[in-house]
Amino acid sequence: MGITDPTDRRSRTDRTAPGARPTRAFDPRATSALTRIRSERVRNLVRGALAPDTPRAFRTTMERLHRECDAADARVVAEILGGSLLARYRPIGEAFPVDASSEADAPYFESSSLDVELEAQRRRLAPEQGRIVDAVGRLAVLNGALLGDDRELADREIRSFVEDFGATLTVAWKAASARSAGEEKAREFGTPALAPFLSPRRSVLLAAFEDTTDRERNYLQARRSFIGFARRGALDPTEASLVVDLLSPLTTDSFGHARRLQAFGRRGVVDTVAFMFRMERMLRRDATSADADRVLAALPPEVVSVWRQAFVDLEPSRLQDFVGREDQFADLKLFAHLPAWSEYGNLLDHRLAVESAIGERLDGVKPVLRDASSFAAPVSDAATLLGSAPRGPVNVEGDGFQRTIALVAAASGGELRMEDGEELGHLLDRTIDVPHLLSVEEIERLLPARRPDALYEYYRLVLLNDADPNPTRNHAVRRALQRVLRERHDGDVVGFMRSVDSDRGHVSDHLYELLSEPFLTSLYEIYEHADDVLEAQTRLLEWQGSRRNDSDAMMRARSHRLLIRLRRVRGAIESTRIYVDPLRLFDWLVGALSEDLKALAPFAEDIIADEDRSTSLTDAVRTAVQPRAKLLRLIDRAYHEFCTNRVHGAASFIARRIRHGTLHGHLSVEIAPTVEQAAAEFAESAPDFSAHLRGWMRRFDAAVLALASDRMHVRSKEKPRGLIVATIDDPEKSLVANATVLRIAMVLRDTTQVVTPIAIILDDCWLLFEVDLRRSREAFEKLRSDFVIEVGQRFATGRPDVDARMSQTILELNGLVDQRFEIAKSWLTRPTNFNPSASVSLLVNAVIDEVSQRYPFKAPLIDIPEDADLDLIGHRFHLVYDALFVLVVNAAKYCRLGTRPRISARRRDDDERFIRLEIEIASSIESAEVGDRFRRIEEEMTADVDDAMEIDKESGLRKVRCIVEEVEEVVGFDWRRDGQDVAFTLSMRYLRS
Amino acid sequence: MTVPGDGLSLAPAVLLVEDDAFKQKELEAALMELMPLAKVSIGRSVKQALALLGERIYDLIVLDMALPSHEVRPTAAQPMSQPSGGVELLLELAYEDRSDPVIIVTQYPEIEFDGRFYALPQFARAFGKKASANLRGAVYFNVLDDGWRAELRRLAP
Repeated sequence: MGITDPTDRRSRTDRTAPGARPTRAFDPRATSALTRIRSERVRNLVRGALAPDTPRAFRTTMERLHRECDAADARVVAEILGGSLLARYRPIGEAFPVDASSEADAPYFESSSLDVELEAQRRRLAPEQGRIVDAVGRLAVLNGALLGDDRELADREIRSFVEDFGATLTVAWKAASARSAGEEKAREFGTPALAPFLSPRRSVLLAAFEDTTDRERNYLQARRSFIGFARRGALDPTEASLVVDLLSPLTTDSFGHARRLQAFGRRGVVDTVAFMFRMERMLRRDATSADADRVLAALPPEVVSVWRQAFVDLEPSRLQDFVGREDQFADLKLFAHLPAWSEYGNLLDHRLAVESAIGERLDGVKPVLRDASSFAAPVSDAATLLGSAPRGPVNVEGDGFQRTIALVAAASGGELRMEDGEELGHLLDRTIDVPHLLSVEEIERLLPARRPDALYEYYRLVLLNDADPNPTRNHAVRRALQRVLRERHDGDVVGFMRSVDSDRGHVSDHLYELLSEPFLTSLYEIYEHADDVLEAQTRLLEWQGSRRNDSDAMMRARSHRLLIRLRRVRGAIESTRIYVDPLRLFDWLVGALSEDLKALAPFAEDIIADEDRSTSLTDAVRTAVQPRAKLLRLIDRAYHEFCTNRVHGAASFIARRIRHGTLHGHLSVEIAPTVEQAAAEFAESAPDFSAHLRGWMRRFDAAVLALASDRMHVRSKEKPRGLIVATIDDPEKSLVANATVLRIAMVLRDTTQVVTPIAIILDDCWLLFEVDLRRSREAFEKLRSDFVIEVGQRFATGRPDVDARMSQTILELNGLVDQRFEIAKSWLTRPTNFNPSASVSLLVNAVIDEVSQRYPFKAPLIDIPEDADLDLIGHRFHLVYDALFVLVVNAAKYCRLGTRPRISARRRDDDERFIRLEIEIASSIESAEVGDRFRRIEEEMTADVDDAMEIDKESGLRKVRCIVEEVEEVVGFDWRRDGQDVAFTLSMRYLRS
Repeated sequence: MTVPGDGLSLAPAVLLVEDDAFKQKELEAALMELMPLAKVSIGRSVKQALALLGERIYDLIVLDMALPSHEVRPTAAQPMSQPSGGVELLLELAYEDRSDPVIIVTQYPEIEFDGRFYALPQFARAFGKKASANLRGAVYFNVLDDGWRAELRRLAP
């Protein structure tokens, strides 16, 4: 309805000055038209709208008009207000907008009636009939090109569609669907359609579709995240309506359709029309045919006719060919893409049937009101569920998602009959997200306890704990798993995983995520020592690496193996006061951030180009939608974990220092006897001073305890005075955070491997943490200055010897306290042993130790002077180990009998920025083999290295050459021959710290 | 597997779970004053304490909260620090439906449980909402203040 807002400052037509009171004058034509309005209330409201007292009154009047007009009056009202000189406010979008902005600031009427909105659209669409007809035809051609996999044609069609009909969500979602479909993401595909929704910022309407169809993301989580934004009011009302329509189209109140039409009305006409056809189908499905007919009547007749011809039902397999169907959850993948293909009535019906059955559960709405049995009749035994899954209105390939709906439907009944734990495992393998779709009560009803069956109990408890985690359930899960491991797999967790994976790959993926180091650590019945836990975790990583070809897991496993080996060679116990456990934190970060980091890789260029420098994280929508803000959010999560993790983060260090009383002990308990001794010494000669010292000690002790309990904490609601602020949303941290964002984006541009970006995050967490450490040191200094013992002449006795001793005592006590504070402050600095590190000699000895277990050879001569025995630091130093290993193995295998290889290290050509180091591995070769060996070395040192990391047929020299390319610090790998001797040299360059 | 306490013996069985040598010495001395005939078993890690818990039922368990997961051994992997490791023992007692009396003795005024910090007097109630154990109370241990001895005496069975 073209309606009037005299205060609207965005009006495109003539208007009164902003804020000026509108003229109270009726257009004579309007006065006559008023008589055609049947409802007296509506008539009065129109009068009020034409002559408003205040902007607020106008707004209220319009809200009521939108709500109360029926179909017949709506048309007359629209004519009156549309023709009025005061009709400056038009809450409808341009017909064919060139950009994606909507009239977001225009008043949005929550309780507008469908009649009013239909009338507005009828008037808006009619003049555009010709172009809309054209657009519908072109949309059909585009669909044909996409579904026929003619990308070239599709690309052309998208370009010309955007040129002719502007920015539309309809085509943008289709382009996004194409981008995320198939095996490889076509990064550049459909850019003209998507660009308006990416610039100046990524639109939430595009992000919601992209994230829910992203194969790296869980559909349920992505959907809940965006629906949550809409329901919590984090989006403007128009966007909220559109997001809900996109992801959860079944409306729940009588104004829902009108609200969405109002929202689509602010978009171009193509989106409006596409929505109106969708709405018409939904209304007809809900047996509200009269409403559906009214929707059709509001559409231009020729548009209806062309649309009907263009979009008949589509065979689902054609769309599945397009989006891909890589596993048993192809039905879920199709479902996630369906919002972009709603023109096809049969597919829309299928989507609505699923939504009707479990839409609320997919949204995480509680309590659930709808019954899933509308999609699948409830069954009472697992065998039936494991048989053919319900099909729904159309025959979709893949059945995991639809079986899940059937399982949800079964939850409305009683217990699910089941053979045993194996069968439950199969059922979980062939369903998805069950604990997030069912409540604890439903799971307990469906799967009552069955103590004798360890495996069944384990799966049941995992479901319950995932549905609603708490310490008791977590403990019960661990007890159950230990029982399974003992009874069925001889305590071998990898054996258990192999067994599960053999026929339940989906379940084994889930279990792999669960089996983190903290979880394994708490399997106390299984692992006798911490070493056993580390070994089990390393084997799990190796298994995952080979099973899923997961290079990140392989690299982590190699790090673990090397650290186990180094620890053995080191031969000394490590400090029990390690600050932040680098390996454990690194593992946690890989586990927690990998998926999201990989998902950001396609946006790396956008992040680099983004000129925004804000590190604010207060806008939840922004941090879920904008790539740079998303990366900031990930860094924030990492930093939060770095600070707060009570097992391997800085909080663990704080807890040990504080909770174990070290701070209190060090600052207070240990000086108390000295203070008491001084007080006793002056008890008679200067009793006031003696009492003062005792009082000082009491106050100081209380202040130290308060510092420990109130301030040496991560700041939180419970600890508002905590000194550690575990977020990057802190002005003092923005410089580092921005640099981190850029460094990570530059790595992600070249690779989706996450080990390097996570190493960068971990390194930079220390730089961020320095801000918090500085605050903490300042608090220590403040406490120190508050408790300097200064008594002046207050306690002077007039006896020179006593007063002199008193001065000396004060001096000594202050010195003692100073010393204590200096030490305590030194705890609050970056430790030197944070990064995984090893000295050159340690690495060499560890390599020799490992090689000697495989090849009998004479112990090498080692020549590593002190200045060359550098600590190699960083997450990739194990690659240096690998290179050394290859070279020492070669020396061991081909060394002339009776001779010893020689390993030396030298500092060479250091400069102001870099320390340069050369490690040489030399050996003599049997004279009979010299020619052949040198020829082979020559070949390997010049051969192509593309596949060197995969094959290991030769000596491994090609692998070393690859490592040189991969590790920034290794700058050269050369060899030379001298008679029967051969020497390989690794050249390294380290930035001076 | 647990076996009942030696009903015929007069020596009460006490399990002291504590990894800090100084605090352990102080607590042992206090316990001997309280229960001169007690046979005190010491657990220095969660793993060790759970093993001792499995051996028998105790007349009293004195429990520190912050514990290493496993014993510290030379050249071995670092055990994981468990700031609320003592909770594991309470959960185990609850799981086994045991009623061994437990007194927590900690150097920290709060205990973290289920993602929240609870002041010592509130902890037993918070734990009781999730699981059932015979938790008699929690004592704040401050070496400069002997109050903890009196509190231990008050809570001991």
